[in-house]
Amino acid sequence: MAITVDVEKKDMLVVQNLKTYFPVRSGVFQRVSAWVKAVDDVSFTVKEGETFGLVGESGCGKTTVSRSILRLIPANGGSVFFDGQDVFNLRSNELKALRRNMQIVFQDPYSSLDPRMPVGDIIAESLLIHGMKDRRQRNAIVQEMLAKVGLNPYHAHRYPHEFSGGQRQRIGIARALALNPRFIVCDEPVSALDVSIQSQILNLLKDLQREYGFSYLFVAHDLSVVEHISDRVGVMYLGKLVETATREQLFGEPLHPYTRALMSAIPVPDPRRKRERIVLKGEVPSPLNPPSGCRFHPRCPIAKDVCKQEEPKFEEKRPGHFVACHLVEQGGRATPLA
Amino acid sequence: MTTYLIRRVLWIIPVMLLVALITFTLMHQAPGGPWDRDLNRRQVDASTQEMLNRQFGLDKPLFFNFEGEHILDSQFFNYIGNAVQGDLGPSYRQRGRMVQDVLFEPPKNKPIWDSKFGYSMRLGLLALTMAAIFGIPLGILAALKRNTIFDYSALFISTIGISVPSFVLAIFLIIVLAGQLGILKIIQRDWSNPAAWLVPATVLGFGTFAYITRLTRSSMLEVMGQDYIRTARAKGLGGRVIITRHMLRNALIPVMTIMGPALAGLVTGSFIIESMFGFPGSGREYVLAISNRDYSMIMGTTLIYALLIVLANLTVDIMYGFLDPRIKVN
Repeated sequence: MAITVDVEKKDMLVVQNLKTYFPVRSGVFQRVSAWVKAVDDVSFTVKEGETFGLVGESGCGKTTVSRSILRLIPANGGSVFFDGQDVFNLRSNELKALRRNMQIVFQDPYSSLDPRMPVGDIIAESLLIHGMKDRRQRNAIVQEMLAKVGLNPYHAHRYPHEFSGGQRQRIGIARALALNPRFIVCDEPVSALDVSIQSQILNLLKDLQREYGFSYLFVAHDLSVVEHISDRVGVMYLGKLVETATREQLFGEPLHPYTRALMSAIPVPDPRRKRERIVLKGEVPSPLNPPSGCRFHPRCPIAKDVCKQEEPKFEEKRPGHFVACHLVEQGGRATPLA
Repeated sequence: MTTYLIRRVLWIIPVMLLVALITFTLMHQAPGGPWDRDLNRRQVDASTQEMLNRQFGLDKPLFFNFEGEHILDSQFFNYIGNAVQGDLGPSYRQRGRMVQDVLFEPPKNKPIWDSKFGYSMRLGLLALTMAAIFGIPLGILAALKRNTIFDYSALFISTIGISVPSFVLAIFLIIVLAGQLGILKIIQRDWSNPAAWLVPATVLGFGTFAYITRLTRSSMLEVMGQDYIRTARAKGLGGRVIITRHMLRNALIPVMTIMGPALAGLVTGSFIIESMFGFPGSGREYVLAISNRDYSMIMGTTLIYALLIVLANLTVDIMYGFLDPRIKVN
């Protein structure tokens, strides 16, 4: 298969104004009294063969975004297009067909595998459900996938509890891989693993991408992990995207005050180097009752009056660099934080 | 596995000895003896009682014989010695019959399951089967439709099942079915008719049915929230496949494992129901034996029941190893 490099890569996944709210029920009759706006108006695209990293603090809605895209949680608004197909308006058989192409690797390798199924069956089940009736053919793929992720083919007969965390995550990856998908959501695939194992899994994911050419949506809260694996990065805060850019742009010159605060928290392996630390005040507000205007304004070190009243637009301030901040000028530098 | 089995089977010995010791002690603490009659009837005179005591060895000391030829020539150890050889002793009330015959000997030309114990066992099995057949699907549906009117109805029924004592339900059903509707005999004499078994089995199994329903529901709810269910959906599996292949296989493990103890509980716990319905099972013999101070009968029945419970628990522990791959029997 020839890969064309000179042509602009085409959009594989387009997320437009995605909204996912969770109802809060209270009272005797369990009426919906409020909505937690876990994801509120998020738009981004993932191009063919690239890795889009999604970062943010815990509770900012990263995982909800990834699950809404796969329709594992129903979304309340917006649309998702996969290869031009409107994901939210598929019938159940079309959705099933789509699952072949969109797979997910879950965060917790301990609980995401059925404890009563040998791992071979876990992997083969996807094949069976998508119409591969021949048992020998399925077994061959299971063996191949296990070898691909660095496990032994004879592991197919073992149960999930007989493996370590890193091995289980490899099983999870093999499972996602078996259907030969074109797009894989990695929902914090390494955050439950030991640091020494994390890099192994990340390198495995990278190698597989090089071999198969699929796209990743990579959700993580660890910036160094995201920097290692992503081509482009989106930063989320309280259910909204505040900045998206290429990895070089974002890690080289972050524009949004929140991103800059995050960047300053990355440890530098040099004890003598002085770092400019930006320490954010207070806690992340509740998504039940988000702040007015810019959601970041109560914690922003440079917030102005306009930030409290008006919600900033998510605009392309530089080519390919989108920011939602009143204080970032068009094409210009961000206001100094100190 | 083999060592485990041998160890578990060996453990049965001390358990049974302890059960025998406790039962024996309690039994002899209770006032009266096997030769006492109802107070308004003529009592057996003292010399006859003495003769009977000598005949059945009841004149010997309870535990240790310090005066006799052998220190273990006592009521307790003689009983244990005989019981080990399968001789549970003569019944003091049903003259001329051995305890094991009362429990296990069927009427003439009838199969073994027509014995007293066989009757109780079959009633218990029927009750458990009915409890499972109705309880498991109800629990599953309640979990799948949780917080709907269906779920609340299931909760209502099972709460009744757990809180209403079986003898109340028995009386209620007898009054309604036999008294008002006349479709049931108050005193059933012919138990060869399978339909006659339904009412006592329903009463007996109702509590277990309620328990199975609750257990299935909560177990299902737990499994439904598991990550691997989400994995199954991400694979593209349909709802029915997920329910049968992933949810039920995991959720029914705890339900399966209570079946053994539940059966033992139903067989041993049926004496009230048997008495109320005039059911010719071993439970009724048990109650009669206690009020008659029929010592060997009390001991025999208790030990058989204890053995049943011990074996049921052993079966469950072994079964667990097969049902849940995470648990290695070792």
